[in-house]
Formats: sequence, C-alpha cells, structure tokens
Amino acid sequence: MVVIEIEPVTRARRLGPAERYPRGVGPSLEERLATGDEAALRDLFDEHGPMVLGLARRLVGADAEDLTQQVFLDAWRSRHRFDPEKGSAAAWLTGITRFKAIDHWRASGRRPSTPSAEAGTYEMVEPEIDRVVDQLVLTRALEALPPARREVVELGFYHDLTHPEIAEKLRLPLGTVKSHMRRGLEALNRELGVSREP
Amino acid sequence: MSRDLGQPERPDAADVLRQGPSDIIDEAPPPELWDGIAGELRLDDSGASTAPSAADGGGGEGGPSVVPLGDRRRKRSERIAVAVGIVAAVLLVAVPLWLAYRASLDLPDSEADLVALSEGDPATGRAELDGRDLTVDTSGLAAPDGSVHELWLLDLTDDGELADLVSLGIIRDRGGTFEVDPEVDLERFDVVDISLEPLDNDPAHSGNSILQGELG
Repeated sequence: MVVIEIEPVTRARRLGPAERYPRGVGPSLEERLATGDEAALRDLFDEHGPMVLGLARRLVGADAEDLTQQVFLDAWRSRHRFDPEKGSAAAWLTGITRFKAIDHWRASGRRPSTPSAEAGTYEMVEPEIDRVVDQLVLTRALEALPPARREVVELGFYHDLTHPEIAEKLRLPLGTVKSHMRRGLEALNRELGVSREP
Repeated sequence: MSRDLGQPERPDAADVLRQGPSDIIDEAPPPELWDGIAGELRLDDSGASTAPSAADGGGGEGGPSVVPLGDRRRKRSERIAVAVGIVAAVLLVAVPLWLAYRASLDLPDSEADLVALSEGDPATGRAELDGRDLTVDTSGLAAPDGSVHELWLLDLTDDGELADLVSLGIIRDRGGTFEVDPEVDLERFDVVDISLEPLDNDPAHSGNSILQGELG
C-alpha cells in the first residue's frame, strides 16, 4: 500500500479585495438565455426542471410532465421578456408555471384532483394555485437571500421572534435588524412580483 | 396594506411567509421529458408551425436528432476520467488499492488540517470529505458580536491564484457537516477556508480568512 503524503496548507493566504466574489466561468445563465444560446435552455432545465416538475405535480397532478414541457418551451419562446435585473430565473419560471396551470384548468373545466385538495368548486382553483405558487417562490427566494437577511427574516416569520429578540439572538444592533428585515422583504416582494407578471 | 403588485387584494411577502415554508419537493424529470422539449425546438427551427399539443404525451419525435444535451457534461466527465486514468497509470495499482483500503476502513475520501493564518492564533480545525459531505470541526474560533464564521471552498490555480470560490454556509457550534452542491467540481475546489464575516448585506468573502487547509 502506498501512502500518499500531501503537504498541508501549501497555498494558505488571505483573499485580495478583487477576489472575493464567486465568479463562475463565462457569462451567466441568464445572459446566455437572453442571447439565444440553446445550451442555456438545457442548463436552465437542469437547474430548475425538478422544481418546475414538483410544482406542476401539485398543480395539475398527472399532467405534470406535459405542463413542465410547456413551461420550458414557453420560457424559450419568451426569453426576450426575461429580465434578470428584475428577479431570478426561478421566480420567472414559477410565473410561467402558474399561468400554464391556470390555463390547464380553464381549458379542461374539470375539478382539480390534487391529492391534498378537497373537492371544491371550480372557482376555488385559481386562488389555491396562486397560494401554492406564492409559497414556493418565497421559500426559494428566502434560500437565496444573503445569510444575514435570511437569518433575520426566518427568525421573524418562521420563529416569531420580535425585532429586539432577533437583535439579542444575533447580537446585532436593533437598527441593523430592522434594515435586514426591510431589505429582505423588499427582495422577496420583488420575486413575488416577477412570479405574478403575466 | 397593498404594495404595488398590481392586484390590490393579493397577499404580500409578509402574508405569504406567515403561512410557513412550502412543502413542495423537487421531482427529477425523466430523460424523455427533455427530449420532448428538444424535439419541439427542432421543429420550430425548421419553420414548421407546430403548436405544442396539450394531448401530446410528451415523448419526443423519433426523427429529428435530439439537442446534444449531455455533450458539455460528458466532455467534462470524460476529461476527469482521462485525468484519473493518467494518475492511476502513473501510480500503477497503488491509487485504486489505496482508495479501496481507505474506504474499507471507513476513512473519508480526503481530509485537511485547518491552520490559522494569523501568527499566534490558537484556532485550529479539521475537515473531512466523504463523497459530497464536508465535515468540519474547529476549536478556538471566536466570533465577536455581529460576526459569524462562514465556510468556503476555494479553487486555486497551481500558481496560487484564486480562480473561484463557493460558500457552503455559516458554521454554527464550531463545526458541522455541509453538503457540497453537485455543480461544484471537488477536483478544483480543494482548499477549505473559514472566514470571519460581518453580518452585513454583502455575500462576498470578507477577505478575512481565519483557517485554511488543502484537502488531500
């Protein structure tokens, strides 16, 4: 047996100011999509396909695979309308999924057959679709917030802490907590807006 | 109460958050799902005015060739396979036996001693990589008020230049196990870094690395 010795800490150093942001390689996925790069659609599908299919499964049940295809085809055809400055690709795709699901039920005239839904009148479908999509958009957007904002928003809304309690727990000034909460909610509301655009 | 979302009666982010997190889980698409999308795109390219049919089961047409979807990924995995093959050839049978030996002892795939960057800093740590789980343990890390410790993987070139970096999250209670995103190439991102981060709105690395170590 050969034991391979690796010298520890051969490259330890502090990062310079220009180096600190994760860069990735080349243009962003959003930029590539906007410029019509078809491979970008595949990357978009790889990244968000499972989320769209999971959402479609809840919204339309057995027709989820077909709905997912419609969503990505629509995303490709309307890619010029995607503005990465306004919000994330994930929020944009959930919006397309939302409207495709609503169209699906309008076209079929059937009552929803999702497992968790009680049998109800047709008029209840759209609000429920909206509720489910909104909740998913926010959950994902929360995960994408910078750590400080995410912590503050989660402590405030999922753990019901007051601002002073959050300030004490995180050992931050109260003003900073309020600022994080405000900025965090602004970002979440922006994502919600993108998901609700027709 | 209404914000400018265009629909005065609709709940805003605060209202939706109060309902708790979404319980929708991801679902892996079957391979033919993408084939159907690629197939439709081929038809669009050829100028045929075929509207996607709602009744279509989604299976791709047999005729048009599918978008070479996996090409970029196959090439990368092929490159890695070639690189590993070369290394293995150089080390003859030693590497596979060594890895199998380590695996049989339930040892991690690779590990690192984390060493403090500041002279005299008593902080130390250890990192172990098992598949895609990175477990770190530290001692002597002290976070002043308004700061946290964040865990990163760095991609350094052979010259020590920083090519890229990725955050694995905030370290609580001196350590933890962190799942490395499948997109992160562990062959490249092999330097573990723990930084002291102020709780500001800046997701960038603060530049203040406390511990570093190279996985091997």
